[in-house]
Amino acid sequence: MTEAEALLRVRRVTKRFGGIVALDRVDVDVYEGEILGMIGPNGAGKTTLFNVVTGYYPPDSGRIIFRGEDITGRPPHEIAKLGISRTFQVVKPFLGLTVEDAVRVGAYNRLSDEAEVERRVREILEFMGLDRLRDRLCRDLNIVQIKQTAIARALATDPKLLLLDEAAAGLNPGEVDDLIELLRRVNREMGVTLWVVEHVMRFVMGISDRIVVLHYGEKIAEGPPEQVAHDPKVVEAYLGAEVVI
Amino acid sequence: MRASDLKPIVALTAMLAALPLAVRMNNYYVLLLTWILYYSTLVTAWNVIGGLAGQLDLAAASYIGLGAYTMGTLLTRLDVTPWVGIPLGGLVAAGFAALVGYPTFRFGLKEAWYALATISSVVVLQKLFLVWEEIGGPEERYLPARYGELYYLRFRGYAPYYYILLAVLVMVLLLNVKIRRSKTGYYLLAIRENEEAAEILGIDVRKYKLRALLIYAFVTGCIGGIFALISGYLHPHHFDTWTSLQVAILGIVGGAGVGSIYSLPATTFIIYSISELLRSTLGGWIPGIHLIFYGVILTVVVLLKPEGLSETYERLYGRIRAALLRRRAGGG
Amino acid sequence: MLELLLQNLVNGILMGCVYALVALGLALQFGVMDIINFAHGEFVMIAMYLVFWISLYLAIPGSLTSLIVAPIYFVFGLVIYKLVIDRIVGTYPLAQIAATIGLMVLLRNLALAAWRAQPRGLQYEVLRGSVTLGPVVVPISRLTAALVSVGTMLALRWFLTHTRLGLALRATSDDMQAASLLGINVRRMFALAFGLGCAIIGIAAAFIMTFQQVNPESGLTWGLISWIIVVMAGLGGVSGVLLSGLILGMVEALEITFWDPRASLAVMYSLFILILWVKPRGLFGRR
Ligand SMILES: Nc1ncnc2c1ncn2[C@@H]1O[C@H](COP(=O)(O)OP(=O)(O)OP(=O)(O)O)[C@@H](O)[C@H]1O
Ligand SMILES: [Mg+2]
Repeated sequence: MTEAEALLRVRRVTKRFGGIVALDRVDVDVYEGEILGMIGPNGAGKTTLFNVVTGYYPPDSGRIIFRGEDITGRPPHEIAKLGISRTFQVVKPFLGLTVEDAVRVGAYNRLSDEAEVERRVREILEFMGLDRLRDRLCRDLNIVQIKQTAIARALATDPKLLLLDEAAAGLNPGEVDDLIELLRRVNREMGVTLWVVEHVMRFVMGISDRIVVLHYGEKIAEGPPEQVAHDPKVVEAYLGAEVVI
Repeated sequence: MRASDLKPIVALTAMLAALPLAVRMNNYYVLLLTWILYYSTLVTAWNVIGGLAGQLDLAAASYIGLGAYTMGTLLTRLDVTPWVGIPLGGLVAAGFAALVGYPTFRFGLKEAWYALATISSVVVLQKLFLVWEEIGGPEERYLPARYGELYYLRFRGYAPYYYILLAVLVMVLLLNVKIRRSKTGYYLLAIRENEEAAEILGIDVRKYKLRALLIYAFVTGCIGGIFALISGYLHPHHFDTWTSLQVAILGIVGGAGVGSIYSLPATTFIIYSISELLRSTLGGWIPGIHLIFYGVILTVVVLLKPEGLSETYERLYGRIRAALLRRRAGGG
Repeated sequence: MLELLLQNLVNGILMGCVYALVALGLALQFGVMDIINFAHGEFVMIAMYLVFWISLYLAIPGSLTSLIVAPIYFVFGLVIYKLVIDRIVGTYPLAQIAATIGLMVLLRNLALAAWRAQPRGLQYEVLRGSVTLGPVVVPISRLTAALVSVGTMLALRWFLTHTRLGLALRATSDDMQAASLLGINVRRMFALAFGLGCAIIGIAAAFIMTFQQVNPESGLTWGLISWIIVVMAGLGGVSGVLLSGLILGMVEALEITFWDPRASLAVMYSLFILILWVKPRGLFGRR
């Protein structure tokens, strides 16, 4: 794979918060069609990298290139228009909206014709298995349903690249399996490239084509799941191999 | 707009149009009803910014005052008809709103800054108009007493203004229903619920907040022009923080943005009537008792029922409907 | 003209210290709880009435009442915290703002009902007369108020940096979650911050009354001034608040010298909007 093929290129991105270096010259490539996993201990900078890529924080230095276009420092709503969407580690639900309306908000990203919006909303709700809940207020959902709605509204924006920040946290093993299944379908059937941050190892190892590892803001490893899992640096970062495997 | 959206508006209009007749055009009651309608239109307009966009705007009195002075000054100095002066006042109010709103709508800036900036604007405009002798000044400036001429829109009684305000209320209700069902409406609700999440779904938060603000400020500026016609004079105390607070309180207590838009006029009707009752009965002993009542009701509602009263009405309405249906079915 | 300007600037600097003290209570509460109390100005107004009545009934100078009003106001702050603020921290921002606006309306109109609209001033005060420094006349009352203000600010700064309780307060302000992991009772810190903020208001009110009168409407002005200072200071700590107060005092002095004293609020407000335009995080913020 050559660099030109990469859908998203993160180049030497640095981000500091006061004295803390949250990201230290990080390079990441995300290739069209793949599922990229990202792991790292608490405070490694994973969420910060997502925030920088999606325009919530400007990086102190470095570049972010999406489909050949420099998007560094662009605000989130422009980035959404270009085709990147995300979910949040700390879920940010629209508590007062129904599931259907939350998805509709996303659908307006690319569509303006009401009939098309309506169709898209129905499509996404069906795909996500949320049609039973369409008239329910997000306030009345459980955490699994809230997380599904968050993915649904992000998908409704019709992204090329979807960033998922700890989508499996708080789910039981059965629910994790369902989520893996669902995301595979998102990847294959909808053609959405995925970049997932996760602590649940069963999840990352199970779903990722490739994995990058962050530690104290630096990328310390990158490669196929099995290789990364046995990388001594990664094992050391996690203070013991049992956590990883 | 759907037919089902129009039905309640038609019903409400018919009911409100009949009210002055029901009180036999009694001056006191028509005046009371006029003020209730006045606040109803203000609160319904406020719903766009306070309810849908979730921004606690406290500048209603700024827009009212600017609308009043624009219309009034054009009328007294240049003999420009209020038909033109009123919308121009709306534009001036919208322009001022943009000046305050644009910097405070920056993404990620604290919500409270907007509330602070808006309530302060009322105080400041009042002082400025006191100092600005050419247009404002401490003396009342009276509007021409050309009663009964459509060009001047001045009337001796309150009933004509009541019906003018009713027409405005209908327009503002329609506007709300239309926005609520459009992309802008959904975007505003998303912004109210969670700005950060809204951004990554492709919403230019500042643009949409500003759009809501401009609509609301324009309408409120127009209502300010009508207000000046009703009161018959211009004075810096038209920039009254209390009006701003009252509008916001009625909006919050009425559950702006949460439930049905009709809960706003309903809340205004109930609360204004109670406060008027308090003022006319106990006001002699305890001056400002009706204002204290507003403070108490706001604090209590926010602490106990932060989503406002709209849900309570809906439940009440459902129960009354059910009772009526039952009676009809039973009584044959 | 030059003499007038000099005189006004000195007044402005003295007044700026007092403004800073009044805003300090609000800044402390905002820093720790991330809540803006809209009733802040009304708190100041009520405290000024307290000063007036206590001074009248106990026949003691207004400045001395600070020793009584400050502890009363600390308790008052705790009570308001328990009754209102504690229920709204961490909820919708709109609900937070609305609840304290309810408080603002309530207090203002209660004051109006109880004391009517006419302004009240102290009957008797020891801080009288003035000292003359060249062309400038400095009233003792204002000078004392400014000195007490700066003194109180230094004391608060010392408290925040040198005592366990103060450090716990700062930790809560920096990172609530981390603080609670360290075993700090965050809710108690909130109550403390609110009580302290109110006690500071009590001190300020006593000294303001030595040279000003109070009426039920004065709350809004004090609120506005405090909000501007907090926005200006950002999260800039005690010194940020003092500097912002001084800037505001001097801006007011310039305005009075060159324009109309009645418009000074308008000029301060323009400054506020300007800061939101150009430096939305405040002039002295850390980030
Ligand atoms: N807004 C912020 N202000 C200050 N520091 C921040 C901010 N956001 C993140 N940090 C710091 O940056 C570092 C990286 O945090 P980040 O949230 O990116 O880690 P993470 O890898 O997502 O951790 P976790 O697995 O716990 O989610 C941490 O030290 C964190 O405290
Ligand atoms: Mg994270």
